Amino acid sequence: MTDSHPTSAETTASAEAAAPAPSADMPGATVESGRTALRRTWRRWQFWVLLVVCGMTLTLAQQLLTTPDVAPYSLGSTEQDGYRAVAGVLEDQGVTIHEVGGAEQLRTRLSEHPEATMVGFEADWPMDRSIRSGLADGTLAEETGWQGETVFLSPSGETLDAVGSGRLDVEDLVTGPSLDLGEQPPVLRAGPACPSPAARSAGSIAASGDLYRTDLPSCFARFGPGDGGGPAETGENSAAASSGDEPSSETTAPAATMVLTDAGAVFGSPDAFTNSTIADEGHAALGLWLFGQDEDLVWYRSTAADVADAAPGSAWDHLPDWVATLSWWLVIVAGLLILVAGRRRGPIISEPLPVQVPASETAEGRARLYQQVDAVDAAARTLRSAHMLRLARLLRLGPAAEEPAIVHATASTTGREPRAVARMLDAAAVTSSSDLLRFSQELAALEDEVRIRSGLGPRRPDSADPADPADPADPADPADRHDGSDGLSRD
Amino acid sequence: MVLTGRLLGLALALSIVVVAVPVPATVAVCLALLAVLVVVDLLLAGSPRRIRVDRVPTEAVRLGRTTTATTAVHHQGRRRLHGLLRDGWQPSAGAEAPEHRIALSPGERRRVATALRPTRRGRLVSPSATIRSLGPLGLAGRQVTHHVPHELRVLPAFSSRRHLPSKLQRLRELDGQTAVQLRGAGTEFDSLREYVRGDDVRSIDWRATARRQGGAGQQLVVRTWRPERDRRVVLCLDTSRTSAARVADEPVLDTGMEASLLLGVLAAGAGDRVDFLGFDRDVSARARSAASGDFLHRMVHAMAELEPQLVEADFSQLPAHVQKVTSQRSLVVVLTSLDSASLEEGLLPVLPQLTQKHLVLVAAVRDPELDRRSLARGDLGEVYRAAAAERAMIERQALISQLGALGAEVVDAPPHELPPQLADAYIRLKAAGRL
Repeated sequence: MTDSHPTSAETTASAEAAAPAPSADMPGATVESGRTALRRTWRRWQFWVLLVVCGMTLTLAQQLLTTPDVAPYSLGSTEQDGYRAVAGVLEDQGVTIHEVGGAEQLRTRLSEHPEATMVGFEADWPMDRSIRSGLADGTLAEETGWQGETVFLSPSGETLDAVGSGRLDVEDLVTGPSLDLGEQPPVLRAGPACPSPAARSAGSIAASGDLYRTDLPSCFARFGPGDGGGPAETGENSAAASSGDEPSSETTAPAATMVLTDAGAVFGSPDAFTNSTIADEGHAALGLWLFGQDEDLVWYRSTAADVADAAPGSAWDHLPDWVATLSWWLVIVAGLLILVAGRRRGPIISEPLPVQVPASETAEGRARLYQQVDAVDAAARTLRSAHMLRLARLLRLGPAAEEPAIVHATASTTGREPRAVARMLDAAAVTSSSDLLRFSQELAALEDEVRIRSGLGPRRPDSADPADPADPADPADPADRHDGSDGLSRD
Repeated sequence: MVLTGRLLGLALALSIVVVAVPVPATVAVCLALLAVLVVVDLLLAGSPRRIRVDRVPTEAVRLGRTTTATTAVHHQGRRRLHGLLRDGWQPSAGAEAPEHRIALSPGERRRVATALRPTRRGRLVSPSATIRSLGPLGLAGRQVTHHVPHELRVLPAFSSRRHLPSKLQRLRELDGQTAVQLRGAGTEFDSLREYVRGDDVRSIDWRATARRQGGAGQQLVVRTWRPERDRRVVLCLDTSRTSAARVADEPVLDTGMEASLLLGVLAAGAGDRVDFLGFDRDVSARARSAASGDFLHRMVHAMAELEPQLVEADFSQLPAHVQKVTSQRSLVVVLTSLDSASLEEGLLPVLPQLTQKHLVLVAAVRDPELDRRSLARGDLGEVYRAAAAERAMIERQALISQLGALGAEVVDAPPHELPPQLADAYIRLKAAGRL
């Protein structure tokens, strides 16, 4: 918004010095120069701009100073739930860890290191579909010439199905106690039936994770028929409870955290190898046995990209190229539209609104109060006195007329019995809502009758003074009678 | 910075290029092209800052009339400027087309006029004028707001003016000046004139007739009378909180203004001296017919900026205000609302002071809504509302009797009838010679 012109003063004859807000460099203009405006804007926003800049600097500094790798189970993470310790020990033992990020990379690494141990770790996402099936039916080995061991760490349901399909029954998936519960995880022993040397050398583990119910060779069982850890120390957790439903059944298989399948070892407790737990029980031995079988370790941790790759081709693939580019362009155009339409043509001008109070608010309020407390009596008496006053004036009895006089005059004007008129005017007889309704309608009818007999029309809302008998009667407009809903009264 | 619809159109047109060459680079190139064009346009646009905006003072206008507000712009930059000028009138000023296309060469002066149809009385303002200067391509521009206020005074509509001719006519009848051969009513001796048929024989002045006998004709001479002149009328308009009440789509204050205007003009026309006071805690407006110039003009200007104040009216000061205006006996018209609480504590205690010396006429707006409600008896809710309305009316009636007992005249009428009824009350008092 700064001026592109030089802002020196123009000394033309037209320059008028008496502008309301002249700036030093633009005599006569009624607004300050661009430079001054910029300076003023800067002065106004100075604090906030500096605050944001400071905040961004601090955040950036913190980012640069701290370890970027803090993801759980990450090989580089030194956090409590990181794997830096086990990775470090493996490296010290001469094992080279190859971390791979995707299916393609995995294939390359496997063909480069045909003897390598492969870990398929499905911490957050299921692994690539082709890799899973390749591992399960051995086609991956055929493709790449790789013949190493496989460890499925914390496998997903799909992977369990795949590696078990036709050769192994994974009947149940029992989730063990998690660290969140603040409970000590149960200690699981390898058990005499365990065929794995790794598990046997580890002896026992104590980590939360998944348990698999299977009839395949398994280790670290929670309990089973005849052996294992027995009905373990933590009988109150969900695993024990769900298994406890069928302890008498002959077919009850052990729920174990490590299962040995044809495709490789399945291990359900990734928590066993974190920095905080690696030193407990036999975790370190198990980890070194499992991951250190060869001098190369291919560490495949599936990511969201694996799932995305596996997804069936999206609609974009079937559309011509220009659709995508045009969409991008139209997004930009929409942004421009926002900028164009969102720019006001000047400041918002406010209207100083005057005070205005709807006038018959108080009467309305009183009516609601009457209705709320069913003030039948008060309403009837008010109506009665209003009609009496008007009748007295209609019949020219004067303001101080006594009730019997009014009753008498009304009776003689309308030709009714004085007693009947007195009964009509008896507010004390009104005891219920329906009485009140009838009472008020009768009074209105009586007054209209008197008016008509006195040569006036029925009472209408528009007459200037409905109580004034001298009021000339105009043609009535009955349509007006019921629209008095929002009126107000000064009271 | 401002981007225009033309830029948007261009961007849409570039979609063809994007479709024709569907690679991401095309999008980048098109975007860069637009950016370059916008920057060029911005740099080439005339500076909206190097403009002097002057407001031409407006004349006051009566509510309901149209007017124009003129703004003078003087281009002091070096580059041609074309674009828009938007006059920032507040909504109630009724500016139908506040935006004006402007094209100014360097050094050019131009006047732009905004047509206004005000919808509110009072002082209306346009705090600023915004100038948008577009580049030669019309794709982008710069916009700056010049804070130069413009002001317009909107005077009361005086729609009760239509009653004026008939009321003046009646005054003239009282005066005996009309072709209608009526003896002038009133108590003040006016003149002697020859008897014409139709004159009341009781008005024949035998003594004067006898004196004329020596002359040529045998003419009878009658006396004529006329109402008193040079009486004083003080109009006191209550602008306190009770005047903020809205009755039949009009604030009580505005109805009071209409009534004061009609009565003021009528009384000034009848030869009385009229003073107008607006008061709440203090005198908020003042106008007098004795000063030179048009009284109506002074009165509407005094009223133009009156707004209801959210304070209780200080009636205790009213006798002092009236005393300051005149020490003579006068007709004091108090335009207020018959609100029992404020009147009982305010006006009633000071009324004896006023009635002792002056003739007091209290004018108040009555709410036709209450009458309407008191008639509806269709269901229980309506009956309760009728009862509440009746009660309000009884209280009002009691207040009117109380005022009457204290010696004040009361005019109580719905909004549209208050001005003519107040005028009628004045004529009646004048005819009765009570002023």
